[in-house]
Amino acid sequence: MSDVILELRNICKEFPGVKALDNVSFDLRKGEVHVLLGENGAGKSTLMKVLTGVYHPNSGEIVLHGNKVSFQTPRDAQLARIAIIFQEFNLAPNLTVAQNIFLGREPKARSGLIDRAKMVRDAQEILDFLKVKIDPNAKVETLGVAHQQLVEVAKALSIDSEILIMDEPTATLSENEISALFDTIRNLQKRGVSIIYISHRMQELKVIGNRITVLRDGQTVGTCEASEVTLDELIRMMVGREISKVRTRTENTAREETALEVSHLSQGNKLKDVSIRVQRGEIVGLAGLVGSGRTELAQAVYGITRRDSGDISICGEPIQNPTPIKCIQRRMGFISEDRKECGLALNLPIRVNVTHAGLKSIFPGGIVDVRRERKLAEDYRAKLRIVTPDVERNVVNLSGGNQQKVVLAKWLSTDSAFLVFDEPTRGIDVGAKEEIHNLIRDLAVNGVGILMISSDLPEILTLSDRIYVMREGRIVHEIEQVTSETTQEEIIAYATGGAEQ
Amino acid sequence: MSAIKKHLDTLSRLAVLIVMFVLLVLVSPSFGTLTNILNVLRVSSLTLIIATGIALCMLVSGIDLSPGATIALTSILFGRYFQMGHSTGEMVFGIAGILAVSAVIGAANGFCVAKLSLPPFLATYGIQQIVRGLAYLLTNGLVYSGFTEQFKFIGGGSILGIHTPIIFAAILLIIVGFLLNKTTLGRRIYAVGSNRESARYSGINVTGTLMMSYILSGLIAGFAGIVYTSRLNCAEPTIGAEFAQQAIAAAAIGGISFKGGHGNVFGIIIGALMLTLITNGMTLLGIDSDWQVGATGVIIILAVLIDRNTAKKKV
Repeated sequence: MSDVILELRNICKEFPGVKALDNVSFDLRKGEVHVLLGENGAGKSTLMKVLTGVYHPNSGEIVLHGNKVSFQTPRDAQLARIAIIFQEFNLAPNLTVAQNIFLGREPKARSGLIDRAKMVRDAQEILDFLKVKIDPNAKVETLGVAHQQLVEVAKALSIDSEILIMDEPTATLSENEISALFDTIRNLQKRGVSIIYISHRMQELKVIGNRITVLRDGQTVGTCEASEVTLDELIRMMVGREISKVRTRTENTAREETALEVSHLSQGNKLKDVSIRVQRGEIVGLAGLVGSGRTELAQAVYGITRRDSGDISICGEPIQNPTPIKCIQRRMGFISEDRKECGLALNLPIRVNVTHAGLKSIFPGGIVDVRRERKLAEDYRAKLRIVTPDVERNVVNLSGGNQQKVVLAKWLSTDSAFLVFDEPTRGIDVGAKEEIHNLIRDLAVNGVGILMISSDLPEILTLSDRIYVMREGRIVHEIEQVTSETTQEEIIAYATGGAEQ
Repeated sequence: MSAIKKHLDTLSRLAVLIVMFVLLVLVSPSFGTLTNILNVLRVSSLTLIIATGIALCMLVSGIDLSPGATIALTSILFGRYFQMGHSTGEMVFGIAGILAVSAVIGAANGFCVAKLSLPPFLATYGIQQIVRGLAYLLTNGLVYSGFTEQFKFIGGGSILGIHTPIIFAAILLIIVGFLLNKTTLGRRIYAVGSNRESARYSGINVTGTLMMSYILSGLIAGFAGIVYTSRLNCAEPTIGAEFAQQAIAAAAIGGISFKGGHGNVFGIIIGALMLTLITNGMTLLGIDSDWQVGATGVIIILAVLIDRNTAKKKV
């Protein structure tokens, strides 16, 4: 079990302005499951992209079976028998299981045409080995997520991979499906396949992992035997100690009026009996891992998706079937996570984008006063320091931080009393981030209730008055009063389920 | 400076149009005469009117294939039920009827696209077939003609030497230009066409905006039907088969993006004029009409290529 087949030595990878990987080393033994652990943005995905030839490292080397290798493309890595299964599967939904497994490598008959019978036979053989009951002739779109994932595994096996990278394989699976997947993983191990397993879920790491390597801020924190480490130790390694917790809000400005009240909200398996409350003038942080239901909660409140049950009221007014229009009427606003998809009309000017959410309230007569519109845009440009030659510029030409400020301007111009910020500073440079933080604080001081979803724990800790932690669609913890004693460990422990051990 | 940059694509199209114009004047002296220029404008005006309606649908990333059929049906309806109307009152009633029917057709298109979420191309193609089918059923093979002088003036008259269709097209363009640039409906149309999801998040009534665009396109097609019937002084179910295609081409040449959210009324004017100039120029040059059809296609493709490349270079 101890022969090392793959070594990543001192890998460095820089992107403009960011050191994504800083001297990271990692090794993999034959037949082991090596867990790669770290917060969002710790560098796990980047490291795997370097390994599979998607990115080229600035320095460092990859040693496979004792030979130094350099993968120029993902295809090179595949030829070296390294396969990766992404969270988002790369399957063609309208093709069959067998067609997907052998996509681009279909067995040919002597005539040069595809030998369908052989393809189905070979696919069946691999599926049998995996002990899964999937019809090789079934179309992939008819399969559930768990089976689709197994098709990915089968595909990886069909190219005879000896290293398999699985990125958050259990994120969308149920308990039963997870234990089936673990059986498959153990089967693969017996066959000598080595697995790099990326996950956030603390409980399962010790069940399936042999060794665990923790990454933080692009650096290796350490590697340990799964059997010899406690969850507390892992959490500490993930978060680190050195992050200073500067709390800048001194007084709690929360007021009597309620901005948002949600009780017993449920939606499929995404949200389970969620109850939260946000007062006006209060910043409430909503923490949790990606996929824990934070965005889903906000979207259900805002009427982007339909809830199954539960009551919602915004600014004291109950709302039966929420839609964005009704929410805005009740003075709610939503700064979405994905500003390109949901936040901005990219190929329209800044001036026009700024009034999109407030068209009705700013121009009640239906006639647009372009001079007033320009003045409004200019005001926000100055106030939020949006860097642009003029407000006629299309939003697509702005940097991420400035685009985010345009989204903010759009919602500020509607005079909202309750704002949801979903990952307000993701992908934004440090300077703009600080400005946005100050703005959020100012809004709260002026009586706006704020629900802030963020994966950036220092951000949650510095800004929030109160914090809810979500895991698997539930509110699992509430920190009623955030103080300088509140730690990231507490949040992480609940978010990952480590606190229940 | 920024104003020039902003309207760069419109300006580059204008440049292509001017080059075409100058070339035609050089080659054929009769081209530059006032009579011919007015003729070009008159011929363009119908395409222009229809294109303006379709452009509203294109701006919300849709399309409307039904205007030709709408023109046929409304003209038949007018012929069948209002032809006998000799009083102004009856004529006005007939015109109002045409507009009401065309608005209903537009609403049907809008319903299929906005409420049933059908692909706009197929939805409006289907409605187009239904509408033309109705036109055939209503005529029983008859052709209606012989309208009142009053009615004939709408499409065939002239005021101060300018043909009435030109005047109507101009008025329509001013109205639609105002709607797109100076009303919240215009803002909503561009917002929905540019990014439907962000429009929804911004609390814009996406369904209502789509409905409005298709209803307006229907109304404008009905308006075109009035002008066309009047000029032709007859109504039959086969008319207008190529109108939608031509108008879509004019709008697209004029820079109304199929992806939605991009383009303005000046573009439509340029596009419609370009199309007419091509045919008109070839006729003046004495090119055989059988050759003209294919040649038009070649010139359209060349014009679009030149336009795209100049726009790219300057940006």
